[in-house]
Amino acid sequence: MSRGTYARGVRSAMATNSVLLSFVAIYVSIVAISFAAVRTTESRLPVEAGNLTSYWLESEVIAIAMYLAWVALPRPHRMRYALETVLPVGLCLYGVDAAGLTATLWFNLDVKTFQMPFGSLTGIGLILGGAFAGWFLGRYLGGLAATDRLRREAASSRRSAWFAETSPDGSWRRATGITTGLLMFALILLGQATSPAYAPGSPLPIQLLAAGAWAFMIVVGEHATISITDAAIKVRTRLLSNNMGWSVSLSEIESARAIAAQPEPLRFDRSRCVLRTGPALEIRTVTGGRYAVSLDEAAEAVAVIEALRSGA
Amino acid sequence: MLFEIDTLSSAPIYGQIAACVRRAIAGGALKPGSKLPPSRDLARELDVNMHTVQRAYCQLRDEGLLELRQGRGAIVASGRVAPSARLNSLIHDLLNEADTQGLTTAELARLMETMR
Repeated sequence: MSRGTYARGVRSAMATNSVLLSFVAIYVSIVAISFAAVRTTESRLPVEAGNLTSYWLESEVIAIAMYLAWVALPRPHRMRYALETVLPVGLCLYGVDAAGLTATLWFNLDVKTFQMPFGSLTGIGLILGGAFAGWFLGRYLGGLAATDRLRREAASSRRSAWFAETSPDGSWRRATGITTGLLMFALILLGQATSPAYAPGSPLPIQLLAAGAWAFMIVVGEHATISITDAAIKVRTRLLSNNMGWSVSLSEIESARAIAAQPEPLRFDRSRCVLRTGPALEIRTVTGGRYAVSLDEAAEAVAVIEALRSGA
Repeated sequence: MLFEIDTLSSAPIYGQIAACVRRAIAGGALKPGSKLPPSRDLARELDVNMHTVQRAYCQLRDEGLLELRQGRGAIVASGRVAPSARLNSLIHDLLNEADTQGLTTAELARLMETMR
């Protein structure tokens, strides 16, 4: 029986930049297609559709600037951040853009009065469908890429996998409700003040939709799956909130221990997936990183990690 | 729960996965109603084919240890099957051990007869 050694999973910044830059290239393509579609169908669109291009330009420039910032800012684990965070969020935005464009052109070709895509259930459904399709595709692709990054480096005949799940309690709902609620409120106010999409007279449902999505997220709650293998520890979450998943290669771990933790409002830390007040697994890496996840079986998980590390 | 397989073992991988679940049920680590990881996730983490995991789950369902429900995944069946689960686990371990030592099933049966 043999066990291999495993990759640290840290790649060069250039490798990460190519991933992020390809996101930017796709995003720019979508914006270009959007403008081209509006320009070529201009004669068949209502006059008010002119506002649309300025609205898109504003939001898309902000989005592209955010991506470029992601590329430029120094991070200790660029590749991991790109695969597990930027890919799902980025594809979610692409999905919203593509669905929004489709709905807008569909509703407004050869009509006299301009209609926002949020103004009907069909439009809202299309945009939500685009967002979810992009998000799930991003999670799937990110998961595949992360699995490849954390693959067993050497052929190993013995393989182990330990699984556990954790769900939120009231303390998570309070903390996340405050955090995401404040953000949501600020975004609605900002949109109301700056974008034609929220201007007086535009359809109201967008605000209700945002508040409804927020309430749905709090009620349904987050859910995390923890897997420990002889290659890595992975934490995958179900919903997009301030608790993103993370993964750490086994060879990167300096120490693992069971701690007591509780969700904290206004804390955005990707490496901290605390869904309950109670026991949690804390991982410290050789590069100084600290990761945590709520886990009732934290002591058992520590024992599994130690056993796998000692056998590696 | 912990799944462990050895790809160099003569026992089939689906049998090893099923044995892990049997042991966990027999030992009380998996209680009735406990949910097992989705076959896709388990296959990915063990680096095996998803159909291999599904075959293991189907075998356990046929033994009455698991319930496979569309959309809910694999769930440990109610406590009534616990005694046979323990017996199943012991028999499978015995067969695996016999296989490791190069004994055929007939030779094992003869050995058991002599011990009665």
